[in-house]
Amino acid sequence: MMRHDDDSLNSLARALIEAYRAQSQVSPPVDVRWDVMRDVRRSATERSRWTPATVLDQLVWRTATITAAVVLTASVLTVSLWRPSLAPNPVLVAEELESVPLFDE
Amino acid sequence: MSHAAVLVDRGIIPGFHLSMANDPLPVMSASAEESGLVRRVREGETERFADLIDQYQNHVGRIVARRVPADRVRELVHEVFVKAYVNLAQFSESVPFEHWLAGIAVRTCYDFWRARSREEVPVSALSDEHTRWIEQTLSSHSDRQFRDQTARQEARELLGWALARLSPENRAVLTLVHLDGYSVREAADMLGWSLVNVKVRAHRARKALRELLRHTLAEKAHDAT
Repeated sequence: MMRHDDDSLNSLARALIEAYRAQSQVSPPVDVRWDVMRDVRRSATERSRWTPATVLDQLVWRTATITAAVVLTASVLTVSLWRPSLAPNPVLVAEELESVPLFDE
Repeated sequence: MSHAAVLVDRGIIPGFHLSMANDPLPVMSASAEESGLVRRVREGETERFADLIDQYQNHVGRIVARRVPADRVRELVHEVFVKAYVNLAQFSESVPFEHWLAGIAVRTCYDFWRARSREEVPVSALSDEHTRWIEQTLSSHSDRQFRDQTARQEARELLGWALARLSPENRAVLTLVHLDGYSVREAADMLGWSLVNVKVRAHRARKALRELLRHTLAEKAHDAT
């Protein structure tokens, strides 16, 4: 029959710690140099695209584009609000119709 | 002095005691050679990073291999080095590069187990071989017999089985403090957690593992009767 007192528990715990240590001594070597360097080069290329000059360039273009879009929208809104309508005013049309006799007598 | 040797010195190898040492870390900083290498990579000499990989990949491999399944080691070592490259600006040179990398490796493994716990991967049950291994280990008559037992595959499987039943946080702390033998302060530095958090976790993790083993022993004793 298996003992399950504290001594057994300590022995089992000690065996597991030893097993952990033994495992770490036999871990096989890894070689990730090629794969990591491929990712590192890719990352470095992406970073190099973001030099201060590029960032400034991008900033100027973005600001110009946004400003142009805002100006265009404001202009369209102003024109559509203030420009007199091309359609005939119904009140004026009604007045004109009233002033003209229906049958020329 | 290796961590295993420190562990023996502190007397925490034989039992399953918790090292609550708050001793300050020994003052060590990056060597001039590795600092120079890191600086060159930061300044744009990307290819020099390969030298750092060559120098430390086995060190990182050992840390990762102790923490994750064998078939995921390579992938995680790769991830550790990519993270190291991306965060190279944060390397302060006040600690050796090796320690800084170890911290990244430990946190990467912790993230691996957190992701895995969300996936709810089922944990396999103990087999008859494991039960037999426990019986044989507990009835070992000599140190040599005991050591032979610990070198067996069943021992590693049983440890993996027990760790898989702990939360990722408990697992990370238990591995660092109780199995690797790092002090609470060292573990806190590596995980980026507070000292108190690591102390509490270490205590809870140890208790959880002991309960698990106690339950397993009781169950096997019950089966035997």
